[in-house]
Amino acid sequence: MFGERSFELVKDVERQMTGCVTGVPTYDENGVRQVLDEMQLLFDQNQKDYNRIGQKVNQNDVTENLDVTMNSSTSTGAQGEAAGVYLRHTALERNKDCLLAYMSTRLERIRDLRWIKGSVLPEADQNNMTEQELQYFTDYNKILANYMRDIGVDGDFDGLDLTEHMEPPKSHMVYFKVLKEYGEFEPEDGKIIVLRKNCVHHLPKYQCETLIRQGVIEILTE
Amino acid sequence: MLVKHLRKDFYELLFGKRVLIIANFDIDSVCTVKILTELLKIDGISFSLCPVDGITAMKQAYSDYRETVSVFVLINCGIALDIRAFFDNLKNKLVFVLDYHRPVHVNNFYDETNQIRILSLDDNFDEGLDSDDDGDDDDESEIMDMGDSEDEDGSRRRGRKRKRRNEHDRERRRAVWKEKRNELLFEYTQFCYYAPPSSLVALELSWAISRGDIQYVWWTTVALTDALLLEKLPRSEYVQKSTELSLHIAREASTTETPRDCLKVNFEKDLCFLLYRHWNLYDSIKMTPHSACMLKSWSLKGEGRFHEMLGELGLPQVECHRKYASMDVRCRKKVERAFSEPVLRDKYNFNDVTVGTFISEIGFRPAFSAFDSHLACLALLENPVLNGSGNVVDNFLDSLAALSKKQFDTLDRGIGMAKTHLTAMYNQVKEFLSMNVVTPRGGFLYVQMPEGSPNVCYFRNTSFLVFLAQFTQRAAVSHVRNRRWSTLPLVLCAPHLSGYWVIVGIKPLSLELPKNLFGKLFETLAIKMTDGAVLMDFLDPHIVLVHGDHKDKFIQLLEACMV
Amino acid sequence: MDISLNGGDDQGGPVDNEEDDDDDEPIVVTSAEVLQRLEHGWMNEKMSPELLPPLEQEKDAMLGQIKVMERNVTTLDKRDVRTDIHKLELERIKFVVVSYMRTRFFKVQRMSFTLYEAEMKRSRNQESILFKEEFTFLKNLVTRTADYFKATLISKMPPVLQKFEIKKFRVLPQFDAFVFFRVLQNQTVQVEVNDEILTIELEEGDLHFMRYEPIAHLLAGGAIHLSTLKANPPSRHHHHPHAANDDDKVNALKIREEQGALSSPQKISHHPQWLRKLEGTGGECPHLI
Repeated sequence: MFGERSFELVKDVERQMTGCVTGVPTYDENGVRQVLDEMQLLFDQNQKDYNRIGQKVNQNDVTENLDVTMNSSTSTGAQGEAAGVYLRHTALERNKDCLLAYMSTRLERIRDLRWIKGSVLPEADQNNMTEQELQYFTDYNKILANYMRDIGVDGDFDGLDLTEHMEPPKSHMVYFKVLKEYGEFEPEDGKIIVLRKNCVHHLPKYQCETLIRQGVIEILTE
Repeated sequence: MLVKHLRKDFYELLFGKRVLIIANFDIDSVCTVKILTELLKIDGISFSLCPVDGITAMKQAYSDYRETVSVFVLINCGIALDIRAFFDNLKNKLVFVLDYHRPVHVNNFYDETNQIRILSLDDNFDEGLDSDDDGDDDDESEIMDMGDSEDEDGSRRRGRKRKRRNEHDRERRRAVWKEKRNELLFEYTQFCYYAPPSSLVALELSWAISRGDIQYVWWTTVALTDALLLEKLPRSEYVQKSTELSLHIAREASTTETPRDCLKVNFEKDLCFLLYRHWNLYDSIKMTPHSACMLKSWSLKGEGRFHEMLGELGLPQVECHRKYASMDVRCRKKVERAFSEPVLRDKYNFNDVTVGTFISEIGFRPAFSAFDSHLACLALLENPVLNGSGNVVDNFLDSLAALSKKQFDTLDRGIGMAKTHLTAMYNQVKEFLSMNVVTPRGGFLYVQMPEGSPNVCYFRNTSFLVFLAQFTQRAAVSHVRNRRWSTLPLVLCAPHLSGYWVIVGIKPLSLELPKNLFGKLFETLAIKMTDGAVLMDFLDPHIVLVHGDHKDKFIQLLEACMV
Repeated sequence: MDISLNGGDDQGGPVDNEEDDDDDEPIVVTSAEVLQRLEHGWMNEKMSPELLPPLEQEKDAMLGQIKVMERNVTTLDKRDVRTDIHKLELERIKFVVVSYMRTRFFKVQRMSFTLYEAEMKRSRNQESILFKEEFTFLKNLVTRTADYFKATLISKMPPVLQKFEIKKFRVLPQFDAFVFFRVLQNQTVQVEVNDEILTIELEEGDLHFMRYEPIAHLLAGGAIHLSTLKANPPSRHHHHPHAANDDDKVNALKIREEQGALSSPQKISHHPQWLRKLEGTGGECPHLI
């Protein structure tokens, strides 16, 4: 039946999104191609039928408007073709909607990843995304960075990082252990500290959420 | 320089600065670090924490943070080293040393630039050093006076002759003074011993800045228990410090009814069997060094007597093998009274089984004695699974976590590991005695752990190694019943990592004061050996690493020294 | 010494100027009031399903204030207990501003195409409900997303369908969502319930739970403000007779506040560290807004 494959795509993406909350599922290259092929097939058939109807109907009555052609087709006995064209057109629209829904859900998740995982995505997620999606992600990062930088720029305030301060603060310092070698790091008070692997620090809360997202540090709860 | 006022001359200097805490790998440092970091966290002082397990690690930590940190706090490390020479480029930096190792290095005490400051609660710090100081000053001033009087002398010829004579005199006097100084220093540094735990200083600090809390007192009791168990302090001093801590407890405990989930600490008389509350009574009595040596429970005959004794006390074997918490209530009540029966003393020579210790209660959890907490933290600290560099930190953090009020699963895990450790230690001692490996060589008893032994992994770090050595010594002395053996010190040799062997020397059993001469001895012997054969990496001088090839030569030299 | 919001102990009083439409002279408002207004606006923004008009001046004032406070905080004596309290207060203000901007951001992102269409259709007199920066962001996002779809899918589709229809991407705000709100001025409102039009009296100080749509217009005028169930009542308490409404039919819940329910002054933090720190200095626990 028409539209089955695209419906499957949508169901799949729905299931995968709920199953894996913080990642991008694999891009179903085949599925999308199959749907597009189906659409092309439908369109070609429609084109043929449309022309046939046009031939059956008086040449002058053929207009761009499908409905008018349909109406005139009933009078000329091209009902079968007309119904077919209508059906296929609806199926085409449906396929388009499903495909758009599929891509758009993925896109939403990709945008969310910027907020969950930071501006550099891990390998696993990158492998699951297409070229264009990766490009979109980079551009989204840029757009977001520009926006954050521009906040309050009139009043001589150099931008606000919206990815920090995700939760109401309990204290202005944070006690953490370094998981990965990071190198030099400059907290608010300006004095540089070197974050070496497996060291424990108690420093002002500056950029700590970005570091947690990157997996560099781990908060110690004691 | 000695810091007299903890708040003004130490704590207030930490505000606004970046602090690095370098801590040694033992329970007292864990407790001190816990107290200190809690205080620093409340006050919002930025700090970094670096646990180290040896002198090389300490140097590495220093060079990593040299540029970025301006205040260093050394906990239980560094006081016996010449810090100025050891840490290069100390410009504009402050170093606070809170160390319970003694003796103190002279240069640290008499630091002219005031950059190296020692924190201690002792009023009369070290008489040895003081008298050295006097000698120093007097002679120096004498020399200066002589120099002055020279200048005032007018006549040239007379001056020159007197000058030459005075110079001679001066030279001679200087030589005499130097000799006297060296003698004093030698006497002072000959024996290494321990001062009361550094946690006491940290507790005083918390009191001085009026942020005292019952939790800090509890952590200090754990450190004090460490000093008792590993014989770092004589029993009398332990009792004295316990009384001091009881005063602290009385001060901190509020007069009104405390809610159930607050920590309550009491000083009570308790049975000395390690971990008996979390284990079964039978195993606990069998494996505690003190009771094991009295019963000689490693031998069949000893075990038989042990069963007999339990029978006489009216404690059925089934109950004793059951977990203590699931023992029959009547039996448990009997236990508390049973061990003070006179029949034990007369027939089985089993006495002195109670010790004054601190018991803590929180919420509806079973009571924890300071010994239990201490062993749990120690087992987590010296966890053999995560051995290797970089995991020093994880073990240290685990140990720190076990101390905190809310992390019960870490504490339970620690208790489990402590049981494994104690069992391994007991089995090792049993093996030593059954194979008669403890032999007197010259002036000391020598024990070597065979290389393929399955328990080797438990004894790679200092505390359990020393504990094993002490247990072995006690067991050997009671096993052989040779009175001379109790006057001999013991040297234990165990395989370590990468081809090295770790050698630890402890004082004779009959000696009351815990003065250990092996530190100086190992140092002098190390100079005689080839380079790289002996590594004095540990911060306790009576523990060294010797390369496998040179081990026998080292022992022979030691033997020759100690006749 | 009083702890003022202005960071430094010496700075006090008015910091912010607001232009009033009618007067020529600016009205001076204290920064505490600005923060209060921003907090209310933030709560409204969080609870409302649609994007509300922006609080330009409050936001700019607060950002400026943050900058001033940051500068002041570094000059404070490190040993004083109040330094840490100031630092925490600074963190809290930052959190409020960032959270406000973030709530708006996610709404803009979600309803991007709708808002874009609305902005394009907006006449010159009407005020935009977006900040300038938000509009730039919106434009960039919309164009980029449209480009993405065009490049990947639409260009591959048969010619008949190769049109980017913006109506397919519209996400509309959920006007039927239920919200809690507190009434600040006496009002009457017409609500349609089950094909009946009911008139509901909203009295000052009451807490209601209704659909958003009928009361949306009241939000703009400041007659009500959205809140959560546990929010503190305003300082004045009034006795009101129980309104005679047909409660079964009404879709609204009317919750009567007990007279004795006092609002607890908001302490800085219930974190035990703070309490211990203050105990140590023997000082009182100061109350901050």
